[in-house]
Amino acid sequence: MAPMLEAWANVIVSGLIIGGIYAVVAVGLNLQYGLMRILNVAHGEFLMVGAYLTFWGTTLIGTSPHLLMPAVFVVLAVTGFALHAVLFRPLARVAPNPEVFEARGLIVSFGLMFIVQNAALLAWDADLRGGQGSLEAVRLGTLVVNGDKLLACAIALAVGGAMILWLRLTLVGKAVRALMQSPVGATLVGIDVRVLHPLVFGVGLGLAGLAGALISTFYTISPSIGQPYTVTALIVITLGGFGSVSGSLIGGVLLGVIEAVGVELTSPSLKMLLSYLVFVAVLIARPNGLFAR
Amino acid sequence: MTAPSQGLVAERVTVRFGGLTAVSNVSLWIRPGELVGLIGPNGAGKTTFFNILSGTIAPTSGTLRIDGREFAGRRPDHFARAGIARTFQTPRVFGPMTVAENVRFGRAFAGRRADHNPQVPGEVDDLLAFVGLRDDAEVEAAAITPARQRLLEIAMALSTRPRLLLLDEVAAGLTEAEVQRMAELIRRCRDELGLAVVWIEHAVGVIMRAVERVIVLHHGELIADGPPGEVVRDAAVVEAYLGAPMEVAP
Amino acid sequence: MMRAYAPVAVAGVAAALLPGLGSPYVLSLTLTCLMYVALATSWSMFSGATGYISFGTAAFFGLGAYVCAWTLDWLPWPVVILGGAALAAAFAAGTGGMILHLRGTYFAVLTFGLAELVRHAMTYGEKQYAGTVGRMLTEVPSDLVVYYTVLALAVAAVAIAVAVRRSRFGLALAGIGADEQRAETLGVPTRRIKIAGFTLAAAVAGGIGAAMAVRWTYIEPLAVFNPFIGLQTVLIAMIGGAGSIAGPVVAAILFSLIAEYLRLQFPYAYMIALGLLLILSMLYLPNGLAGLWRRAGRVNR
Ligand SMILES: Nc1ncnc2c1ncn2[C@@H]1O[C@H](COP(=O)(O)OP(=O)(O)OP(=O)(O)O)[C@@H](O)[C@H]1O
Ligand SMILES: [Mg+2]
Repeated sequence: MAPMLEAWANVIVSGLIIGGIYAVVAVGLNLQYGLMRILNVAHGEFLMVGAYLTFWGTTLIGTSPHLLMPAVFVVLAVTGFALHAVLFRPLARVAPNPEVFEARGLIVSFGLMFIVQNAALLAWDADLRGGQGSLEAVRLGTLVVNGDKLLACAIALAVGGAMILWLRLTLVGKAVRALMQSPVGATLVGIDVRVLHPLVFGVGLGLAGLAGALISTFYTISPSIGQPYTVTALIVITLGGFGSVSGSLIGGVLLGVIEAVGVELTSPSLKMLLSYLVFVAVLIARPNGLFAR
Repeated sequence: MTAPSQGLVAERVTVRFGGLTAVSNVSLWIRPGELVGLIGPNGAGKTTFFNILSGTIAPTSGTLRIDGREFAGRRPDHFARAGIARTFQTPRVFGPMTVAENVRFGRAFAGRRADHNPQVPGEVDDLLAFVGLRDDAEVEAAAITPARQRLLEIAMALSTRPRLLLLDEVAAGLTEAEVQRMAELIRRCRDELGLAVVWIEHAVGVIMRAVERVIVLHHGELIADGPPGEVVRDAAVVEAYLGAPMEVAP
Repeated sequence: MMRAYAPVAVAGVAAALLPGLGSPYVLSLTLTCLMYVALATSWSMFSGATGYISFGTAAFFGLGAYVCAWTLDWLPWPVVILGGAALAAAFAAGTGGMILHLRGTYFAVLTFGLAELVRHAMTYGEKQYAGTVGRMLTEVPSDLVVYYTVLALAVAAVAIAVAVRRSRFGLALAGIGADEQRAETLGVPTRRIKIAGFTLAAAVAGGIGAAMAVRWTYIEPLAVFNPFIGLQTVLIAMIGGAGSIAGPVVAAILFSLIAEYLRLQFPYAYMIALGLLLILSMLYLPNGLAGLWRRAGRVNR
């Protein structure tokens, strides 16, 4: 009985840890969609870029990946700010209505996905890199946990918590939340949407880069790792509800546990099938998220 | 009174949105050929009630019979084919299509039925002439003025050749003269086409002069139902809506 | 109106005569063109008209391909094609009832998820019941038979699109695209119409999948359910102008030609160019090529 329990505890804990990372993978995308109705399917590609920046940074400069993370965040946030100004603002200007903007924005981000992924392939070829990790395994009671993953999860949850605080306590954050509720709300708060949109798009990309940096500390990376994470982010958002940051945190952890338990009960080859099953089922039955009223 | 079999009968209809009861326990009977006004303060549940009568939303509870057949919970296209047509508070015309194409649309679907109202013309031209939009026939619907879009909405509703017409604030934002013409048009819908009409409007004076029966909703409840002359003196209506009793020209 | 179809008709005749004139290479290139003509045209017929953007074409294509893999040995070729179309259509009709109440991005994302779900389910199912993931095709019909089959399907797809556009069914689809709820209150049984349109588009993709399957000698889920098939279909239709018929046809031909030349030599550069093209067309040519020549026509008049 006891070994059995312990095995399950191991499964759940590893699910929780990877779920914490999933949460931060999804938060940025969800902010962007919730605020601007831009479903940036290139999200995973920017995650991949963040992973590479971290890898090259640590390899070339020789610092710890964790020290590089703020820089990775900033680089991608600035990129996001610029991309919004160059692509999405003009798109919003010419679109006759929000529905059309949403459709075109989706197509534009597919374009971005192609560009970033293949530019990465050109620049860095398809080889697998990194992934050796640097920390010792950690003992939690009788459980043994991968130290790098545990630290990554801790950082991810701290970042998620910081995002929630940012949205709740700062004026800009409150404006974002007001705008997610209703588009007219923002003008009431007195915040200029022309600044807010690029800013949040940048934060979204920065978070993607950060997630990539975290992942690069314990998994090998290649230019094609991005796309599956876009899918992961979509599943998490579906679980937690479009536009809800705390929903994404819960959704990420939930997906991590569902995957871990599901795979334990069936077989590892079923992981993707299982993820998509959850995704499709939730979208069909509860399109506003599991926790919607 | 035995259960009427002609017209539209709503019984104890209730709609809830989460904790909010938008329409509460409303029962009424719209008889064929009646011209009815529906008034009430903002948020009283008027549009929501129209949404139920046209199948756009299903009531949380209650029954809805059209000519004796139960319709609650059916899709809007069933209501349209059963002879119920509506307009929307903010005009919803097919912007990229021409005015004529907009009218042809309804004619091609609900208006095709054999048991439609034979008094409503079947020709698109005649319908456009009836509402006064013939000159705009080939113009893109998005390009005509909002006032004309309201007329187009009515023409689209008529194109389904209905027996009951539900009009949601079709006179809002019109000039004095346009309102008079609108009231006239609505009367002609009843007199010449034999339609029953329910007309929502905030301009109480206009409604009271135009219709022969007034229904008042307040907080989702039906607080009055009767001839204009009686309703304007009803204590509950005065308190909830009018503020002071008003006189209605006979 | 008729003038717009003239280039399409000319292209069709040219394609029919091609096997007598062109080299096998040209033939195989044309085959790719025809495949995307059929996919993009049938996609536009439903998704372009209604605005229900589906990334699920790969699912229908793959199901058709698997019907071919399962039945090629014991069924006549035309039945195999019809079988592919039928399975894809049945799948679309079954799932359509469940997913077509969602609009916009939700629907788009859901169709993508559904296609991936089918791919993984097929991988798993084949491993369970056949023991291997892929299947070998041994006795395949001649290149010429395949060519004319795909040509026939492409012609059928365009003919269906034209016929639908002129029908009450097409009017209903356009109404759903303009304002679904309004269309419903005017008597359009939107649910049934959407399912029918989705199913019809799926049938064409399923038929194409069955016919194209024999081009691979080894059928496996990753190849025939490749999400890129669905993606490329959407892109071609959007760049051509999803509201038109000639637009996607022209875009499909252009695309296949560019793809053929660039993809083999510079695969990464090709994808980057594709991405740029997409972005530029959304920014500067939002109604596609069709919008461009419509605008040109207006200037000329
Ligand atoms: N789909 C909905 N979801 C939630 N609440 C709704 C919905 N539709 C209407 N309501 C609420 O129901 C109440 C009644 O609204 P309704 O639009 O029927 O009022 P109304 O009488 O037409 O008002 P007005 O004169 O302003 O048009 C309002 O409080 C409104 O906010
Ligand atoms: Mg209203």
